[in-house]
Amino acid sequence: MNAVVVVVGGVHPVEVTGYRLEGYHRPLGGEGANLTVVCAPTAVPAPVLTYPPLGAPGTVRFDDDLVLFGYLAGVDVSADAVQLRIEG
Amino acid sequence: MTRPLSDPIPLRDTSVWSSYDAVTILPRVYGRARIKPLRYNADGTQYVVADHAIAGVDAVTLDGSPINGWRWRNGSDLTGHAVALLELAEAPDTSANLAAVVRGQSGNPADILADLYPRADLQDFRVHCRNAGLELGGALTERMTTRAALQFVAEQAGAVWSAGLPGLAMPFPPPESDPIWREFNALDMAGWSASCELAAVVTRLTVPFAWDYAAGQATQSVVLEAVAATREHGAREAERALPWVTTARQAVAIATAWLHWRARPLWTLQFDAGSAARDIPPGAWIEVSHPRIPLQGLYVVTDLDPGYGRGVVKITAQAPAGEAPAVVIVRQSAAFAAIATEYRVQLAGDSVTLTVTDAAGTPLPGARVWIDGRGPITTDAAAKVRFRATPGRHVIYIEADGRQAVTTEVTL
Repeated sequence: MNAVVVVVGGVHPVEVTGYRLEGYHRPLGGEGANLTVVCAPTAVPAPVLTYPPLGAPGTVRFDDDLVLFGYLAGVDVSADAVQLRIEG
Repeated sequence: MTRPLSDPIPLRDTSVWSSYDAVTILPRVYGRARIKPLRYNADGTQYVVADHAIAGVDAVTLDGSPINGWRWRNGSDLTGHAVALLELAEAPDTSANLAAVVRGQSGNPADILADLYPRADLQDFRVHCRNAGLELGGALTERMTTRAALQFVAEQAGAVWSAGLPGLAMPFPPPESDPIWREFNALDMAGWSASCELAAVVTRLTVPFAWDYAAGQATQSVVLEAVAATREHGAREAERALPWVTTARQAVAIATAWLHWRARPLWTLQFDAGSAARDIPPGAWIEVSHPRIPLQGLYVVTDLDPGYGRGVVKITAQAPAGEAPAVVIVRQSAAFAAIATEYRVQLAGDSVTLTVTDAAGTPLPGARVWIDGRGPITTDAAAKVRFRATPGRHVIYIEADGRQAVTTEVTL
């Protein structure tokens, strides 16, 4: 199984493992980088989820590929999943 | 019966007269505001300063310099409508910039809202504004819907409004002493989702305020910052204009409350509740307790769809995460055309008499004076305050509506 890993935070970074990566594509003439990492509801530590480090650096890897280096732009939570939005 | 919120505020313009310079809205003036009088007669000696009776005219200027030889009166125009008139002894040059400082209708935000959208239940908000010393000064000079006008005035008072809110308007965020309307736990909440985003975070706020309607610009601005939040989330800048706020104290208070709410992650929670939740008014506190929702505790209801016919009430609520950050004033400045505040100090032993005036020496009763941070003491009818002080250096801060604040030192 492929591993989607996102590392967010500056001084004390937190590593979160996701199961799906959405919104990334490489069109001619630019790069679509509004990327969403979808994780299980329990994948993000509770204190980080309560007070998400918005604006902190965020790195997304898919297996061994560095997909994006950006910042945490938003968090969406539902009963089914946590979605971390990384922009870069 | 109140009019629909989509109706425009009924403002007249100069075309109601048989002759006029240009079609211009006849201003509705609230509190104390500097406005451009509208020429009313052919020889240029009569002007209309408000489309209603006013409390007075404090000063008249020509190209920024105070002039004598004027008087004001409440009367009626050609159509029989009540207006406030300014009469000049001599007609000014047509190219000159005539301005008048007008005291219009009540500047209490609740009174302004009631004037725009008559309702009988504004007493709580009126008392809140009075206790907080909230007094606005401005003029309606543009056509807008009632909805837009209510939104504008509420923003000037650091408040929110809703037709469904008992009392129409309330300070935002609501006082912590307000009741918690309902508690929701995992069993009461269906289809929930929560989100928070960086785009909603603001750590540094620029607030232009004290609008000069004659010059068409803000006369003062203040910049506030939540420094710790800037370190945490990066510099997130925004501007929030408060043109009807006339004092730095009010501008800082409103901006600080706003930054306390916005300079941290702001969770927006949406969920479905049973029809029993239909009576929760917007702006109410609710308490959320659900193990899967990121932020537990108190939320403010920002929207509610009663779900008539569906039996499901959709609730949207917001709450910021963490503690409110400390907010500091980074910069306070005045436009080049700011209206100056002057003062004279007379010493007699340990007694100090301070007289506050404008640049022309006209006394400014009602100005507020702080001595070594204590106050305010309000200047009397002769624009004087008297106080005793111990020998040494004392810092005096003077603030008068719509004018540049002054800080000075006296040594006894």
